[in-house]
Amino acid sequence: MSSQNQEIQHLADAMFDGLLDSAGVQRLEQLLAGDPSCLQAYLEVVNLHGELLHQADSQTDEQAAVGVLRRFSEHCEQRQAALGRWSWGISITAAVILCGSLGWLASSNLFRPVPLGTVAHLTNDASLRRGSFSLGQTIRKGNLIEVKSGVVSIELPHTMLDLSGPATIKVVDENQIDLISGTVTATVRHGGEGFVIRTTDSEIVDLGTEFLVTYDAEKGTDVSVRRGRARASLLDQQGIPAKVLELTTSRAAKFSRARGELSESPFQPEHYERLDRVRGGIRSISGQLRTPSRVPPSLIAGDEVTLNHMLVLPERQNVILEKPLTVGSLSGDVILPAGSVVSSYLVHYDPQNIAKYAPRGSLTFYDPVVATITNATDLVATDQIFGLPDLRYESRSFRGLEPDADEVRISDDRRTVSVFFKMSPPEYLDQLRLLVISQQGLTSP
Amino acid sequence: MSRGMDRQKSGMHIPFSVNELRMSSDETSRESEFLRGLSGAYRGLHICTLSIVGNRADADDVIQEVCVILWQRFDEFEPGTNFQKWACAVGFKVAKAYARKQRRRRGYGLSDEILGRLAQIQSRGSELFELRREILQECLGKMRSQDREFLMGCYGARDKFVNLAHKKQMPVTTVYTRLGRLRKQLVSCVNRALGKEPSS
Repeated sequence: MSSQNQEIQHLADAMFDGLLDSAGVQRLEQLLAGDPSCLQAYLEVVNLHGELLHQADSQTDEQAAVGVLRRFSEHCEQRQAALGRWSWGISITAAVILCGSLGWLASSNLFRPVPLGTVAHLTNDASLRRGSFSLGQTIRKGNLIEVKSGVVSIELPHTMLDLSGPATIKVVDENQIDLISGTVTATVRHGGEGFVIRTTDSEIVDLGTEFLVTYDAEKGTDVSVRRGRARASLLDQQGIPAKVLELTTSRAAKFSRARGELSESPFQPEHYERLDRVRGGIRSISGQLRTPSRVPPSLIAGDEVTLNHMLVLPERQNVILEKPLTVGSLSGDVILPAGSVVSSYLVHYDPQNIAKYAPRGSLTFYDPVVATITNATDLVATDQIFGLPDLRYESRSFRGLEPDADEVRISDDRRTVSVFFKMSPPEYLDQLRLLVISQQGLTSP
Repeated sequence: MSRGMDRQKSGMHIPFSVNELRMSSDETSRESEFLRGLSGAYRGLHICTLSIVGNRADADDVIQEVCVILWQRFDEFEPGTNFQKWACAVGFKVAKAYARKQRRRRGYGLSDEILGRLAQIQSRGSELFELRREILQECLGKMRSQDREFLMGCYGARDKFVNLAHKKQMPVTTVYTRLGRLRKQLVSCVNRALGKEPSS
């Protein structure tokens, strides 16, 4: 670059940053007036600044345009008192236009950022700091997700993210998120190696794994790997890795930028327990299904009322059968061979006589469903084997499904189950147990 | 009297008349058309105004005023013609008026002649600037991720750099030095790709 062009760039940068003084402007004027190529060089730098501004702005162009109108509307409101009735009318009009704009935006898919994933799972207490979520909702590049409570699971192309509220992340792209605060667990499937979670002081790169990251502005970052491998880096103030540590199964580390420390810490499996309890091996749910964030003490009729949704409760997970087990399933008896690794899920619906409509929903598992237990006798018989130890179960005969009223359908690959429980007075309780077998232990019944 | 004339006769920098509170469905559709056009042209329009005022904060002020005036004069826009070209022409006028006002207030600024020539070159050179923008994407892709993030952090922040430096716990001079180095690196990268600079 010529020295003249370097000077132009220096002056254009200072102008852009608001740092150019009178002498600088005079010099710029002199250069621009003296040589047409300087005008071109100046505009090239200005265009670069403009483009970088747009690159860095997480808003889409139409959000930016509406933002301008919104600021205008706010400005009008501030002037309302001074301008009196006339200004009041105009402010309202601007607000009306803004509402129309936002409505148009909400209904328009024309310019939205690229969709990267979906909301795959919510607990029954899941809530956001702002706005609301629904199952299946699209997650787009640049989305800021602020979970206030409960667990929200986001499915990206190769990665499942579980956010345990309170937690905030920004979705940078399908291979990276920024963890702003709280805890996120990433389960990276084959093909997603290289997935990155960044916090202010660290960067964790997946190398084929399931790992958990917690960030707190005061305490720093904790990382643990339940299985697989991850590379954890402590970043310096410029965001450059200063220290690197590779973590493998059942290892954990703590980061402290203040002390410049990246050290191993004891692995604590209990950090994963909440997630196992609320999601287990469920890949996604849809419709009016939720998982409970806390195990209720009792599922006896009337004790755990669910109004317009059904609860899916992960029960005992990865039970290894010591001897063959025969269970009564929807399609007849199923024999599970000894050595099978089985996980259980109970679908519970107890609207009493309060609910207005019967819910519908479906759930998809990573592994196939081998048995669908709908009969009260079979449910009671399997409570001992697959039920949670401190949970009280209903033993009366109305607990099962009514074959002519309730619906349970299983997909061809046996991984998705859709359910529809009709409300059938006088006893409203309906329960269904699903047994899912680890693929390694699958034997055809 | 047309709604457009209503807007112009109001003589204020506010685009909407009270009568517009009672909008028909046709008018709502007109709004949508305006917003669609504005959204598509927004990035280019912002750069047009930036090319005149040069300063980021001033450009933010000008773009707001430009959007309002565009709406005031939207009836003048002929459907089917280039919205961005029309919007930029308005943007240049508003930005030049703003720059003149700032020059009077501050006591210094670029002359009207230079501002006029900048507007001319910016509007005529759109294809070249578009090409440079495309190459810039490649150059950003080649950057070290830490540098790219730093750069995006600086451009994405609405804060002044002093505040940014405070947040990043680094001296403000370090922010400027690093930013300046990265900007030069990008300009050189684009120029090299266009054969304007020898490869290093």
